[in-house]
Amino acid sequence: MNVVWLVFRKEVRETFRDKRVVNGAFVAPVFIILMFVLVFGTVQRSVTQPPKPSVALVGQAKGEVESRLLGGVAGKVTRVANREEGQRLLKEGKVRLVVDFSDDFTASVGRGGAVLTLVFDPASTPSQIALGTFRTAVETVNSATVRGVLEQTGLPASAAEPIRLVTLQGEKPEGLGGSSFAGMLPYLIVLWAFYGGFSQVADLVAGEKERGTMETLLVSPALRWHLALGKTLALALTCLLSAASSLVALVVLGSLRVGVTRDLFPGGLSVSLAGGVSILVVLLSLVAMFAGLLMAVSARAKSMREAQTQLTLVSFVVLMPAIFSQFIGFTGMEQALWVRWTPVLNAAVAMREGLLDRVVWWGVGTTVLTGLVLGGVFLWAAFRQFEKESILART
Amino acid sequence: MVSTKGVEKRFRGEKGEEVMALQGADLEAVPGRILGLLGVNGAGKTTLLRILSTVIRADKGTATVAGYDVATQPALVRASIGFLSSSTAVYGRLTPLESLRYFGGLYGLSGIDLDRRVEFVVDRLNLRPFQDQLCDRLSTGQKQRVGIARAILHDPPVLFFDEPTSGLDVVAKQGVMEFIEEVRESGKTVVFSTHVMSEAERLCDEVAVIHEGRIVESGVRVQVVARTGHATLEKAFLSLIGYRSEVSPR
Repeated sequence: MNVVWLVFRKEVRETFRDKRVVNGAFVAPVFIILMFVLVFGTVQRSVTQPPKPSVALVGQAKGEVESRLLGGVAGKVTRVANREEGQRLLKEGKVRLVVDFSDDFTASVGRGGAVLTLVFDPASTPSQIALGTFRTAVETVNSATVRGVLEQTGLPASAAEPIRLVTLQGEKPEGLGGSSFAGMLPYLIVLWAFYGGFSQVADLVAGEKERGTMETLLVSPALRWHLALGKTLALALTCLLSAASSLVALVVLGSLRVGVTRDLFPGGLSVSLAGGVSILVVLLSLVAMFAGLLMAVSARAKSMREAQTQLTLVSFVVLMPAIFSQFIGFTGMEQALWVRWTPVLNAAVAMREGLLDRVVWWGVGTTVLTGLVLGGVFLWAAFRQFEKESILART
Repeated sequence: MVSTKGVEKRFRGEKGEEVMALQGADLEAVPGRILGLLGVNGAGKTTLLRILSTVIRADKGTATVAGYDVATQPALVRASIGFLSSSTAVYGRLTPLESLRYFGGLYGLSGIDLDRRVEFVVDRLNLRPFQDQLCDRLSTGQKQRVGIARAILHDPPVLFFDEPTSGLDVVAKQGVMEFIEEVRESGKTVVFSTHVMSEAERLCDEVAVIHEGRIVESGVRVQVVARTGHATLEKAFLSLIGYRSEVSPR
């Protein structure tokens, strides 16, 4: 076991001196998380706190109701002579809506003949959001007007709303529960658990063959499976640290509580103890599986280039379930048995549950089991490659 | 100290065909003398050295190194040999000291024994001036000295050199040759593969000429040359491998 430790220590030392691996495995995840947080935060803010839309107003807002509606809902108001001119601005993206009040609009409100025409762009999401905002404002005015009329005629105001809808929020989500990022984060962790090792593994075995150093190892008395195990453990550490660096970057960004991060993580970034333990356990089994797989594939290749080509193909297969994991929340299939036994997908689902503090322990169990069993199989395959002279002597 | 009898090795070619890399190889190398394996590229020299160093297994025949059978006692063979290949084969992101300590550990050295041996080879190969620089920043000659230090670190009785001067400049080459001569003087068994006849002429006491996987001639160098009737080893070698001029006479 002394040899395993020696090999592990040497590989870790080399890894941290390799700028290519450091950038690929440890810097890139931080950078990608930063980009994701900025982009997602900006998108989230624009959806939940949309700016007041700019509108084109046909003619003039003469009455009190028009002014109140525009003042409450619209942002910049551009006056246009007619609807066609407004539609031109809408098409050019300079305004979100064209607003056209009927003649004598305010006076007509009480009589029921007021018409507000809104022209929107169906191809533009901001335009549709602006339409919704105006619609809500108009409904509010309508409701207030009806209540006033009812009260004037001696009828109860509640008659304006025969069915009163009451909505109550369930238990307030904590931590990442209220964040749209919770679905994306497990994917990123899985991604970096794989790609972190990807940047190192080609060098670990195929690179040694290419440089001729593998032969110097093979003529030493060290057992070959000890060499393979030491390298695999070093690789697993890189996979783990790479995934962890994305998590650490997220925690640091989230704890800043400024601008976009405040909108993205409204409930903060806290993860419960049970959630944290489940994530760690799942991540360890995932890393064991990935390290074994990467090592087995790399050991077969005769050059770094061949290893990278083969690993790229493998990465598509491995990352498909991770990509699906982002959308599984929309399908309601998270609890399906097949999901719990599907490698990678089960890990992403279990980590998401951990982040949301909704740990399903039997799901964690199946995830760890599949990860460790497959990791063991891949590691065995890697050991076999280390014993095969046709593989090791390939140059 | 090194002996082979009827060693054969086949490989699968790229199209799946069987390629005979080595057939009926018999040779013997003894302590205090250098056996030169002479052959053109692809003749089978590296295959034979790989079998002797237990990297690959022979399909037929027997081979012993330092009294141990390469097929049944590979661990003991590995502990008894030092191997230096044509590529400089050092870890670019380790320093010479770190490399030596790493390989010392792989060879079972530790503690004071390891420190002593590392100090010894550092001084012997004059690595001190660059012992703490990353190997990536060393010259080819310096890297080859690190490789030699690694090969002799555990003080093996048998040394295999597979075209160790390939790619070296004239000064570095000289250093390697002098070192191999020193090794012979210390009584170790040396097997030295090369296709450079001037090197073989200077270093080798015995030679074995390998061509297309067969040992076509072997014995004491001067006797081998004499048997062919030529004046130099180079001419003797060319006649032994059946070389015919590819340039048409005017």
